[in-house]
Amino acid sequence: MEADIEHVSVQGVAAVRLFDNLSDAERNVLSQDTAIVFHLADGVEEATLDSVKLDFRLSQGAHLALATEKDAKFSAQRVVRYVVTSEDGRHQRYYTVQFLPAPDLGPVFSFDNPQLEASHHQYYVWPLEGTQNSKNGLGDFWGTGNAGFALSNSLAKPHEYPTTSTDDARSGMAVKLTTMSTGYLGQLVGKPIAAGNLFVGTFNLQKALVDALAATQFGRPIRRKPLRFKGYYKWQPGAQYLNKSQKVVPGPSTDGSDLPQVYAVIYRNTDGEGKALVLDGSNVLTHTQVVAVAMVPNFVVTGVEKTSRWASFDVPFDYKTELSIPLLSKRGYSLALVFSSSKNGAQFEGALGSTLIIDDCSIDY
Amino acid sequence: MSNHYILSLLSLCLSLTFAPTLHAEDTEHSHPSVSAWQITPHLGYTIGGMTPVPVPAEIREIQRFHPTDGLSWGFDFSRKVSSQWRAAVGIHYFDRGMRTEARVKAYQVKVVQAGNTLEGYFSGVNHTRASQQGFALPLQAEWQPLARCTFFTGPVVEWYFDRSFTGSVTDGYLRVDQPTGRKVEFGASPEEAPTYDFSNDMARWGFGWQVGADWQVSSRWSVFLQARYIFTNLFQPGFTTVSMKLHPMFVTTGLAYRVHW
Repeated sequence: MEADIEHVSVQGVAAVRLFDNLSDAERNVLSQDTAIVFHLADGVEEATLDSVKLDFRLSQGAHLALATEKDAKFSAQRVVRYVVTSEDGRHQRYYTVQFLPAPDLGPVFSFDNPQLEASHHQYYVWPLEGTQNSKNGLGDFWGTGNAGFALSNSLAKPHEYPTTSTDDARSGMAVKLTTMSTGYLGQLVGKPIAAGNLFVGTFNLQKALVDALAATQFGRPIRRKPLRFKGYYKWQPGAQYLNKSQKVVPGPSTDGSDLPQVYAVIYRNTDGEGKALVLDGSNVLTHTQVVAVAMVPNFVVTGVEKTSRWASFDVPFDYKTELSIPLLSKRGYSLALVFSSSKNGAQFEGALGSTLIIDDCSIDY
Repeated sequence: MSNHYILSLLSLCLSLTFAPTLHAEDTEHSHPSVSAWQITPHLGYTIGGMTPVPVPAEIREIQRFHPTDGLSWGFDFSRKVSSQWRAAVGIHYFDRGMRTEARVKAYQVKVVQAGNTLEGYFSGVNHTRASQQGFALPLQAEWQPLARCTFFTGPVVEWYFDRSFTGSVTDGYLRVDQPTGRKVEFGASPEEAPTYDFSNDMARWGFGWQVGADWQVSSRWSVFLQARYIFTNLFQPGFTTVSMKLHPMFVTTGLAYRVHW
């Protein structure tokens, strides 16, 4: 009954001519994704794409066909559509494949253009500044836990989600992160609260229940060296800090209340054997391949009224080891920016109502 | 506990079958029970399950099945209506249940709570415990073609004062809305697994049919075997989370004692 593309790899031409790393030539496709994008190395000629053939691994028994009649030739901008039909013939999924030049990240993130999520319009998504393709406007998005919240709260409106847009902003729009209860269905699966979160990366819904930390996959490749991480915020902790069993306990702050968490991490994104590495909630601060961290050390309680004063943060990247410039130019490092309205939200601890509003963040390269 | 009284029942049955029967010579000429009225208390062990009929294709494999509880006792009041027929009505207490583990594929699930809906297709392992405690009121026609042998059949109404239906799902995933929809995995460990409790959605009443046979081992004692099937759904109408209808199907065996007047 299922019709997924599970894995795709580029064949038919020396992948090393198209990509910075061989690991970029193949991809495990998340069950939630229907747009598959390959990022090309700098300076790849369009003609090289003509001889690209793709190798797909599908759901058991499923068949794949081109959704367009004409021969599919990839060009730097062309979107090629495929249709996958399930073994029993009753279900189909449409996928698009694109080859795009590799993007840069930021440097300024203003959160001014939220959109409603494409398939169900249940919550907001934010384009990741710097990743938009100049020709077709398609690009990457910030990751949030909203897709998980949508399952347990099918009635919630976009402004009722843990991560939402707000016009209480320094300029344009801002992002409001709120720690909230996930309701009956969330408690059924042992995840009673959701912290509002926003991060550079992907939220893998498939893993959200079985391994919540692994579901938040952090980082996107960069090719310039970040020096400082800055931004503006408003913060108000919730009234009662609860642990995972929903008992009132002292929180991480010195006065026992909740704390948010804002940090940036740079890590090497291929391991010694050239395999792609993506860090997640379980290891993004501790993995051996982390090369630099910029952690916001403390937060001022500003209140989250329209009249509350904006506070700011400006932290340098603390480099454990120097970046290798050749590796950096081949996008061998990834940058993750992470915001959360409850520091221990990944362990389902926090104060309901803790609110962090962020706007006008930037990276100094 | 249930094993304990199976053993005691079995030993009682065995000792009775070897005991000399009274009035053996009378059985050739007349039926042992000549009185018009009869009251028959019984004690039995009931075993079975709550199953969909027919078993749908979504259930791929029953990996485990254990009956639970199982005590049954009751009284039947019967009146002779002809030489071979009696009419009977009874009150039977039962405490029955099952534990089961089944592997399912693309099994439709819809959970609704306070207006929030989550529905989709679940594939994985479903662990369920279900039990019912209550009273049954069977209405039976009894047919005694041979001296020692009685067959009976008839409708039965059941009322449950204690019901339970709980479980969890592991080792699988849910595809939301469609088989091609968003996919969410469930883990293997029972502690982290999503759990459900549909006890309050179970029906209070059931209606079904039973059929059985009774074999006399002495003038008053007999052993019986009875099978009961409940037509009505285990759950109340309007309960959509479990998309199959579940029917209790139980077999009871035990000892009965006839008292005439």
